[in-house]
Amino acid sequence: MLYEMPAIQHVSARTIKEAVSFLSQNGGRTQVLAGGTDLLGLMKDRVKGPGLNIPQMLVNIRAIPELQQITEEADGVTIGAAVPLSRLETSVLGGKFPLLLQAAGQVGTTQIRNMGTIAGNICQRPRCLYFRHPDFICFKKGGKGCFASGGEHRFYHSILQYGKCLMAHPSDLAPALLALRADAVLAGPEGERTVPLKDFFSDGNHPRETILKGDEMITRFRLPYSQARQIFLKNRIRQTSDFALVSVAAAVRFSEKRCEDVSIVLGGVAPYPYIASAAEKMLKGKPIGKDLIGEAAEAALRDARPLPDNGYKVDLAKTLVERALWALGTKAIQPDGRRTENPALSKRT
Amino acid sequence: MAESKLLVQGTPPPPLDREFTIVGKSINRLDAPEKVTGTAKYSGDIKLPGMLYGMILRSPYPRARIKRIDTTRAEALPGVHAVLSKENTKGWRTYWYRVPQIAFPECLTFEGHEVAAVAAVDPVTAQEALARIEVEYEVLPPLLDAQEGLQKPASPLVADEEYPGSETYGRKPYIIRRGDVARGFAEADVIVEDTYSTQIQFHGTIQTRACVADWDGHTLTLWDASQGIWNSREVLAKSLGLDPESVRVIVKYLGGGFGSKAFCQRIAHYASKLSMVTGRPVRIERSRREEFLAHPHRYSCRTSIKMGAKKDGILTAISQQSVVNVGATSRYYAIQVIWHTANLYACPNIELEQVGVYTNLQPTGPTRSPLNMTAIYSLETHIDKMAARLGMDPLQFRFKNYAYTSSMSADFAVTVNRTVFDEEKKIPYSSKNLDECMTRTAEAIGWEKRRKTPDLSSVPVKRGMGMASFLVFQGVGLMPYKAYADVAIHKDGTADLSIGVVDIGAGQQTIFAMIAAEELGVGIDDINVIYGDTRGTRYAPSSHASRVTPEVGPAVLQAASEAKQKLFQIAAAMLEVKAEDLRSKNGIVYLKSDPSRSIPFKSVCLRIDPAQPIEGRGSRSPNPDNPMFSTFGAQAVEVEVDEETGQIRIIRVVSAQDFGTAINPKFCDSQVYGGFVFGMGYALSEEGIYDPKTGKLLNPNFCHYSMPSVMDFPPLEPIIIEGEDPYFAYSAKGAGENTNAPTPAAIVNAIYNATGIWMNDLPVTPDKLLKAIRDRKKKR
Amino acid sequence: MNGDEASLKLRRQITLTVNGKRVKAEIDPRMTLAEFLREELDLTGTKVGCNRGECGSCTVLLDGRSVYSCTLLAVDAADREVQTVEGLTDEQGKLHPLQEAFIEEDALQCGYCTPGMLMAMKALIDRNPRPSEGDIKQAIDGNLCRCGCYPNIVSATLSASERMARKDRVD
Repeated sequence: MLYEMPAIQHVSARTIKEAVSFLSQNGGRTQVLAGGTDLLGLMKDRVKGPGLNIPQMLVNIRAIPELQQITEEADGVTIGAAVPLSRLETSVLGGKFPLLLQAAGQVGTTQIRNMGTIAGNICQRPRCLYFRHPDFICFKKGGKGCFASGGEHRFYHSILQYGKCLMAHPSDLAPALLALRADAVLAGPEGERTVPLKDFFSDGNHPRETILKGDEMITRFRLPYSQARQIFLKNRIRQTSDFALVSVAAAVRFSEKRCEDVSIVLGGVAPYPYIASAAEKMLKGKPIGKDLIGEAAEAALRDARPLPDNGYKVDLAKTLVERALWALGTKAIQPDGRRTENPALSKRT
Repeated sequence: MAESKLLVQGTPPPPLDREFTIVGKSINRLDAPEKVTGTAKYSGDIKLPGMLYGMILRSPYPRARIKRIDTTRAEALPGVHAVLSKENTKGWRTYWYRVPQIAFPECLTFEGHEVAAVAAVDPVTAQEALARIEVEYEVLPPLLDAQEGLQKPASPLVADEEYPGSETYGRKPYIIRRGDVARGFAEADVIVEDTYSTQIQFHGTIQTRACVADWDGHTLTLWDASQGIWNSREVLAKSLGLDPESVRVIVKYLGGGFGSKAFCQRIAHYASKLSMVTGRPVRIERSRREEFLAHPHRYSCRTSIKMGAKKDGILTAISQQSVVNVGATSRYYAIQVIWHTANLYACPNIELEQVGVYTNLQPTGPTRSPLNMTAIYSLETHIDKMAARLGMDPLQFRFKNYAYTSSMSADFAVTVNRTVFDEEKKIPYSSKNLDECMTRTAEAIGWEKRRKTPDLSSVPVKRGMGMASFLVFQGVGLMPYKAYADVAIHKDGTADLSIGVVDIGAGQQTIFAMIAAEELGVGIDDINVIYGDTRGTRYAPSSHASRVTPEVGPAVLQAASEAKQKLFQIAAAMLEVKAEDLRSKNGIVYLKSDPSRSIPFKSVCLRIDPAQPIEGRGSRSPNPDNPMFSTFGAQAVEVEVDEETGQIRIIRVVSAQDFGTAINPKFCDSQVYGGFVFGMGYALSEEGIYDPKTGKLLNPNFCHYSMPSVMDFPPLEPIIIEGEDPYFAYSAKGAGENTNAPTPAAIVNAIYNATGIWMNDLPVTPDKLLKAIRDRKKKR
Repeated sequence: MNGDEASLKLRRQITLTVNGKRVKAEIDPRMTLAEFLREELDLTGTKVGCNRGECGSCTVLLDGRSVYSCTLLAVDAADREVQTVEGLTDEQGKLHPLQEAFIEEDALQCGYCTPGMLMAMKALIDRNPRPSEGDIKQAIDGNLCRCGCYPNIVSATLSASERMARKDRVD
């Protein structure tokens, strides 16, 4: 028996208030636990440093009722933070939010989807091999500098925006939720606050990837109903388990052939889920077509400045943006990858 | 009657003289019930009363010297029973593949190298004890790159720094040569040169190595996760200064072997010593991270090949230089990457050189198809390059240069007393059906539909087909091919088969039970296999190198036959016939010339004295120098390449393997599937990723060491090619391990056929393919 | 499990159901469910291949869903239902159709991934008695096999589900 978990205190919270109260004690050495699929591994690997503690107390929040609810309201849905991804996949939301269904279905493995939660997925830590290695005390752990810089950075590092950290955001749910214009509801000692998800993530100059404070937790997400066509594409090394090399979450509401409302968010390319605003602006109001799609894909990666060994991600990201837009706009990608125009674009009200 | 060629000592058994009733049937694995019910106890499942937990402190540096080590605080912790370090183990050596290593050296030569071992009452105390060991390291500059190593002299050794084996093999070129390559190249119409680079691959056995050692004052019992019990016993006894008779090694279930577990390894020695010191059983179990760090894995290698041929396709010359990154120590084969180039094709002029460089990467060791997957990848891809240059079908090119004989004997793979092998021999094979493997593979994949030239259009997603072939000599050339088997027939009509083998999952115990049952003429349920324990069995080789079926098989056959002949004496008296005219089949003993004169096997057995079962003994004889014993295979793959995403999808695979006789066809199929997992991973996704600055291993986990999943595994059609090989039990050759040898080459050749791009650097991950595509676009 | 005073204070009482039986224990919260099953209950059928939720050999059912027991704390399994490979065989020792099919189709070699594979498939068949080949593959997309048993595991599960469906019709 390996017994690799460090010594911990474990409590179960029955209410949000209780959970927040635990978080506020213990000087920042308490963390919430729902699925544990990222947290427990980090703890067993002793990922820590002067700026990153291994939690001493874990607060299980699975039993808090609000965190497990999926509620349909007049203008949108509320999804509890601790809803497991597999439940998200099979819930009624699938029909209304194909993007969520597709993204959730490509996270990890069956077991991970049974255990892992929606909030856990967007709050997961980087997949940089140096961050995950106990001997490299990088910026994110309170050390100096970035070891990926002159070292290994082929798969899970940024091609857009760098700071002291070169990571790329590994979450699949984050681009999808962002493309669906989700808000996160956070609970802290002072009560609740609602943060649009686009303001939830920080850049490569922050030791944490989100703006969540040490005594705060996500309680739920709110998503407005969407009339957009949606698609999530993810490319990775294997056909399961692996994190995205690049992912694209795209939602376009068409009015006849015109793109009335466009969201394109990329994962795996920047320290945060990357809103391709230049591409979105380029498409808005215009009729979808082959040339425009090509230009939009270029625009999406216009600001890319890849690292020495991850330049391939630029091409890969452009391809995925293009394919996503083809799938949404023209629905005609041949098995051999050739794009063909499909003039019979079906209408959506 | 022709003289039997079966490789046994003494009188070979008479031929079976009838069709098979069990051999050739896909019966169920004998140990399947325990495995599917979870009752199979692997070494890490074994718990003994009073058992202590052992843990190991490992060096975090690729190269460092221990300036100071103080274990007093660890020893003082309540619940700690022993601490071992260099301070109290001077002169102690452990052995792996008979390679001696200082148990706890002062100078550490790889990340993960053992610094200390503790035994405590529970894992928490053991972890705390490790944390209390104070070590001051003097960090030394490591050598990580083999090419770089060759360009400068080796650093002077510090303290007791050692790279076991390097005195013999380090930086020494081993050369296979015949004919005159200069002349050969001069004669060539077409010459192709290229360089290949292959990566570190890990075994990735799902079980991490674990052992329990129990010293009771006179006997050391070790439950281990090893592929061999007798060789483990030998080296443990040597290491601990014990009489081998007082060492018992037990391995009933093994959660994956694939090579480097052929001998017990460091943790078995540490656990045994800790048990001897504490007087309690000690379990040591490696974490997955430790498994990546400390289990000797496949070497990385860089190979340059130059080949020349006439325009009709006949090869005139091959030269090759391979540099192997050996790591800090190895079970090294000095010609492992050049042997195949010398033997797969009949080329009259060759000059092949392999150099091994010892570095501060982790030890390397046998990893499924250790001699040939790396070698075959570069050789068989290069062959396709030649064919492309010649405008010839690669399959035809292979047939044109088919080698009907072997040019070297197998023991050259392990010979150390020379560095140049230039005797050209023409040793016939005991059986070689490679041509049939290639033909059947090509037929099944639909080779005639293969594109004659790659698709260079702008279509993003392309398909292509590629193939590769291979050969490997049996048993890694290891002498003396000794193996014993014992059969005892009891009064109740059942028979014990005692064989000192480990069933590593390839089905060894079932296969030998089938051979014994067939020879005796009884049902499989009447055989009780005693295996996996040095008590109650006699020497058999470790289950590696596909050697067990060809080495132990004949002994089993002989033992069963001898027991049967003795039983026939009894039956002969009962039937009033001559014993030599009797046969047995399906539980009946009968007269060959008149089968109606018969008696049930069990009825004959009733005459056996319960205190004296009828015994038969079998003993393998060494391989003769002539013929050459080898297995062969060919594989063809159809791939789909997405040039815009770098994604490679394997559409289907056909794999034909020459097994001699497939004792159990579904086991053979399973071996082919297993090989493909290794080959596909090597080709497309698996690699050890190291930090270039510090040399530390960055992906010691299954998250970032990407082994093929069920979602990646393609439809695969195994084809078993059978043929006669009278040297082995019922013609059954060993063929399980090397089923992965042709895979990477077949995949890379298929990628070329699809896209026109040669991938010379494994694994072919999306980033590399996209970069190659981009580079090609730039050139145009 | 021994431990020092501080960790004794952290110990928690839990009750859970394992293979249909109620189990009570007092454990260190750091103990994973896999460790609890193997060390406290002697159910060593569940394996720990990586201890990081990356290989699947520790797969058990938690309230009917397949999970990585190495990445679940035992305390978080409190008041829940756990099924392990030992629970597949019935009280009389009769094998589950999945187990029988695995044996028939040679869906195992070294056997170390087998318990995890069986449990992942059980979770599937319990919810979806007529799974397609795609469903079956997805059910074990989180289970690694190094010996190459994927094709046979898939065909074994197809065969088992067909047998169970026929049996249901007959019964």
